[in-house]
Amino acid sequence: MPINTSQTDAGKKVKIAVTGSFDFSLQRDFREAYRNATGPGVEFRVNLRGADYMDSSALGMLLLLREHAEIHKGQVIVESAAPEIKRILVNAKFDRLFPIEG
Amino acid sequence: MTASNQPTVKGKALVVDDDPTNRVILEALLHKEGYATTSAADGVQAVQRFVDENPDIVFMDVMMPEMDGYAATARIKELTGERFVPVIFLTALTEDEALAKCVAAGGDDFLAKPYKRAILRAKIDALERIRDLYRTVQQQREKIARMHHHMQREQEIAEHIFSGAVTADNVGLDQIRSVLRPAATFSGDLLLTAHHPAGGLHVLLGDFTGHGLTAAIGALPASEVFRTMTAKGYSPPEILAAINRKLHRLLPTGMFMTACFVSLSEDLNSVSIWNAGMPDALVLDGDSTTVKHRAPSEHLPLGIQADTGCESQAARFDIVAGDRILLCSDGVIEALGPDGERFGDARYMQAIAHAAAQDSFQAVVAALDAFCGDQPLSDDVSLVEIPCRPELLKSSTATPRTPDKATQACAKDRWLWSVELHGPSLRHVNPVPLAIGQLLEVECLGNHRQPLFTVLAELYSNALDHGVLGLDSALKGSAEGFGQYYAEREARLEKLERGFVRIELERLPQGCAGKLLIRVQDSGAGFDHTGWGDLPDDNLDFCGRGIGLLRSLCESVRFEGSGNQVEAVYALAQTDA
Repeated sequence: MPINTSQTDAGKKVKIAVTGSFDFSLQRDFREAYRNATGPGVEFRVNLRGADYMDSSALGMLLLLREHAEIHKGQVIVESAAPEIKRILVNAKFDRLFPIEG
Repeated sequence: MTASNQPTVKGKALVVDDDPTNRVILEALLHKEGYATTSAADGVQAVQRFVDENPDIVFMDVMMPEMDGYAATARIKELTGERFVPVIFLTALTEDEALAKCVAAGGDDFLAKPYKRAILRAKIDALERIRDLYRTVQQQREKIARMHHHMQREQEIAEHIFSGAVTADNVGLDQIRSVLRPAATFSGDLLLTAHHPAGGLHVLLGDFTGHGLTAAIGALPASEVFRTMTAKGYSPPEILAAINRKLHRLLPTGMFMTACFVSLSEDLNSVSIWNAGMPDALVLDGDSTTVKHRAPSEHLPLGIQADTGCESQAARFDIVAGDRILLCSDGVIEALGPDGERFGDARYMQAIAHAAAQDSFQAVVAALDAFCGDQPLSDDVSLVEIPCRPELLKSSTATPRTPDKATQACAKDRWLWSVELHGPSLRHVNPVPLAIGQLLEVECLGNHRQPLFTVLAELYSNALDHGVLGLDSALKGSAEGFGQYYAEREARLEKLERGFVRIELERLPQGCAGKLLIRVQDSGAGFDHTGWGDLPDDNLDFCGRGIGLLRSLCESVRFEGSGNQVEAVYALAQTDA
């Protein structure tokens, strides 16, 4: 599965792991991964350890997740991106929009 | 041939059998089922009948003289093409191999002799269902093909009009080299160029999220803002902020535009680059393939947040005539090769490094073509090279938009326009583009646009810097003083609470061509201007250069009052545009 979702802390933490090419083809699955997590203050961790590519529509998907989190007073953290992926995130200055960890 | 007299004809059946009795029996049964019939006594005749009468269903005996049932069926199936015409073998055969041969020849079912009406009806019903399904699928397929063709055509027409509206007013395209390859009919990449009234050039290379029509939709508002504001003399940060606001309002979350804004100074001495999410912009040496400067992304792409942060400083580089600026969209860096590898920054830089002097652009295109082979594009690909040559800044090819005749002032008209900015509003509002905008609305400026912009900009900065802010222009005498001057200006502007600048434009009718009176007044203490009018131009030092420039462009420049008022007279005559 290119998108793997797991919840911990009684649904307060949602981890979305992306594998392979993070592009437009994952749009629906990615949205499904967070759509129902509407509790207040949910922390969404997008784990990109398994992702080997990311295009601009993936950046767009992160913005949609960010909007979802803002509506529900939650936050988004992007983690474990490979150097190549991190370069794309930093080039688009997305590090100003949410924390990018390890 | 025996025709049925029944009113409800379900179709025409072709009965092929060398035994006349069998034919008569089956035809009679088929009439009862509502079919009209035609018949043949051997394979050759069957094919002929099939061609002549175009039946809907065929009943085929196997053993016949001339051409047997297998061969006739194979031939008939060839002839039916896209249509579904079931062939039912009439057989007493029981051997598996013979039955398999019927299917191989294209047979759809079997009917055992002697014929039983109930079985015949069941088989016909089943085959009619298949035939109807076949027809539905075929109709749908034709409909989709028609719609696809229609959509393609509409898209092509729309793209033609659209790209015309977006790019038709671009300037300097005989100098700027560009490759823009869309991945779909519509490109999400966008190249805009326009002359600034101060004489410089603005270039914007943008890349919207995704590609195709949805990506291209933001191009129209972006280009409109870019052109209108550049024409009025707004600065790149102001234009970028306006495009950002517009896109933020228009585009849904998740859609944005990465962009590289290049502003080439009118003297070709420097270039300022704002990079918002694009690959590094490169300044290449004119004579070699050396990369002199790099402008990496410093800003958020446009349309994501209400505030861009583009007001922060641009990357500013000194250049010399002949240098080239190379921009590309991420479609170049991320282009896919046949084995799933990406072109990458390393190959991009290598192509530039190994190019013959002056030919980096072609070298990158060639390297990219060789890398991608005939792989279809996965994203829009754009590469732009801006040569820093004087020809680029010549606005001869530019045709500034002129207002409709009806709204244009005629030579005998007189009008007055003014704007007064107080205190903190001087921080946020630049009145020069407002004034140019007003002039563009009512006058056909033609070649006057650039000198008028210079006059207004010069008068305004004198009023603000020296009048309101009280800065001493002597500071600008040295290189480090220049920087100090602007830092001090920034600081004083930040703290500004009081003071004003008033700009007044008055158009006087005079003979057949008008004059424009430009009055600027500020709240400053003024200066001793006695004797200024007598100074020869070549006696004006660094700080006074502005006045010399004004004198050369205007009929007259006169300071009044305590020196906090100035009136310039500009002749609008003899526009050769």
